[in-house]
Amino acid sequence: MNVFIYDDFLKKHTKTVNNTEILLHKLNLNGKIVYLESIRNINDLIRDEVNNGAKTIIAVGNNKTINKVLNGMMSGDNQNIALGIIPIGNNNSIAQTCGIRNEKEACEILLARRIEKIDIGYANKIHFIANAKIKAKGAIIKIDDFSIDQTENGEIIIINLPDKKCSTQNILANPQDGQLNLLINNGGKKYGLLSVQTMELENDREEKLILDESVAIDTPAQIGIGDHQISLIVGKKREFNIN
Amino acid sequence: MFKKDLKPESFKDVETIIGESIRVKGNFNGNGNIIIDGSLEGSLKTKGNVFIGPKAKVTGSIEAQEVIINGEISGNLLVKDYLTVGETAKINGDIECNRISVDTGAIINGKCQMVKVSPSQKEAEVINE
Repeated sequence: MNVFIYDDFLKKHTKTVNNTEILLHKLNLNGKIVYLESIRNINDLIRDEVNNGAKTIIAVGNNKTINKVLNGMMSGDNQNIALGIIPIGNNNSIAQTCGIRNEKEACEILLARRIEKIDIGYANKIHFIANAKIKAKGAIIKIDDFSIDQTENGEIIIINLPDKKCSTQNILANPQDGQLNLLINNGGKKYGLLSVQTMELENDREEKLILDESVAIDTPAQIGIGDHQISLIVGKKREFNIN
Repeated sequence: MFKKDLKPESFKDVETIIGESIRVKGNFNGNGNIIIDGSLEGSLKTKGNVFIGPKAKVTGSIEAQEVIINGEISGNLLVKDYLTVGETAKINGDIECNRISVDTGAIINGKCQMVKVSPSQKEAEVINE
């Protein structure tokens, strides 16, 4: 059974949503529709739906929607429940990375059900699927018994799911290797890169850490890879490589 | 094996890059190839190879399979195989390596000891890997 979790902002995209629902019906991809605004606790909702036989939870919306659904799924032992994506609106870089360019393509991809097991990162108690970002200046990263800081402006990107930009920069991030890739970038060739399992991020400038380009959390933050992977439905043209 | 004129951009399997504006403090342990163009205050140990760029500054010991040095190092070097010392290199510390090449202009202040790795030892290392 499919459970479609609609984000609240989809009210502004009625026509797109209607067309998507028609296409889903044609492809026989029916299921239960739940609006995020009507959910008091997404963890409870997903647990109940899984207990009722849900096999696929589909986030309909943008990166923020995916992150909310992901965090709901990570609250229980849902490794065998697939996470699907139907991107609508702006801020859909995660769908893009997964090879899902638009809502029409998303429906076909859901039907094909190509599943990849993907590591999931965490920052404090919030999970993320793609990356976590923060301004580099003022940030100190502690890993094992060494620390890293950046003397110039730039950005710290903690990568789990690498996008096309990563492959052009020769960043060999793999979302199945149990590691996060730490990229400290201030343009051009001045960057740092290393693979890590856990790290501690401190910041003296009250900058927020942005997860999945949508959720802001406070620092200091304990960041790492979670114990469980997630089953993610991806398109043929996904931008990340799996070895 | 690193070639003498190899540029970091051409490294295909680099595990760690410490860029120019990045400062690392503490003991850094790795398994793969490492490029350092920034500053490292502490020891560096890897099973792979190390490239030290011309603007890099390392204060601490380095232990690796092969090492190319173009920057400044204050610490001892233990290189299991080949050490290349470029013309801009400045080493203040003792060196222990199997093979070495030193460019004109390089500065080395310290003892240099050649340690032979026998073929049987090399084979054993490969089997262990």
